[in-house]
Amino acid sequence: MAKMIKINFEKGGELVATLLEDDAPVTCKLIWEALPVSEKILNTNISGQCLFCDYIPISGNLPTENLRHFGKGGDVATISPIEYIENTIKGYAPIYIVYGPKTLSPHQDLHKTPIKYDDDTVIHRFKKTLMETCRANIFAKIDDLETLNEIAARIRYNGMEGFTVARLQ
Amino acid sequence: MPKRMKITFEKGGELEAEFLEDKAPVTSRIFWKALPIDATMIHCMSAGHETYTDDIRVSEPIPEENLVHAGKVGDVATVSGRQTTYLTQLEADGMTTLCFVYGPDQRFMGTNVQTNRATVFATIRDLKKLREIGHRMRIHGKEKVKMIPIEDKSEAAKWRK
Repeated sequence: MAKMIKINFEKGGELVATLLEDDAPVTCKLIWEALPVSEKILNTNISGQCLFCDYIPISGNLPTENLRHFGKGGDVATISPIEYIENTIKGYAPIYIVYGPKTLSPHQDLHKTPIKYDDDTVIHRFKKTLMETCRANIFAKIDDLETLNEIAARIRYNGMEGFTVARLQ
Repeated sequence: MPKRMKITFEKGGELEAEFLEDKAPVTSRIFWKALPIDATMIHCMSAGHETYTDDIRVSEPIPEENLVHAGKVGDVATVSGRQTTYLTQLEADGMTTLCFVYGPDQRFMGTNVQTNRATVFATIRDLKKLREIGHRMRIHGKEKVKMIPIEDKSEAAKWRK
């Protein structure tokens, strides 16, 4: 049975993610060994529909595995220093949780004019600066997109909150 | 004397923006006419150091004037419906967007991939307060804002010293 992690949020809600050990074995191992971790999580201001935290303490070197540039709703990712050297903090890895899809965008509740997304609309891409793109290691997947989007909307509207990532035994 | 507006934030702080009537005359007139404005602003998620709202009702489409892609701290901007798909839809609904650039790393974006050139139509001079409010919205989320016209000339003279 695949290993799973649970992500609990300070203001309520729990998400379960299945580790993709076949696609990203080293990344899964490093993250698994780092757990549990409690930190703060926030919506990105450059990458679109994505929550992030830069401070997951890890004990080894992150390789590049299962690389993606455009994230999909439910993707849980980190970025290797190979892709992210300028932003890398020694001893730590970032974690990213991509939300969506377009039809579940929290924007729908915020604006008086509902957004009608079309095929041109890209909800997310991994970036290291405002101008430079990068690729991320997708190492886990969240299936409950409805709960993910509710939590993501809350963080997007109301700001940073605490979260804990732990092993699901 | 340039027209100005006062922007008051729900969680504290006031800013004044001076309209750039020479560089963006039509847009300045449209926004001046739209005042007072009540809106909810939120931090952007693709454009860097920017707060914005898409809830501004306007009487006519925003033209492309004084176009800028990478904003400067203090820029107050809106975007024509010609720039990206969502803005076209917003324009058709009689609405437009309003953006405040509060930090040095910013570029106007329509989606996470599509870039915009924005119509910069006003400027905020109190950059310290603007950055404080921008960072607050980045960490603590959305806020209601109220924008009203400043028409008192004596107050304007005091502010300009």
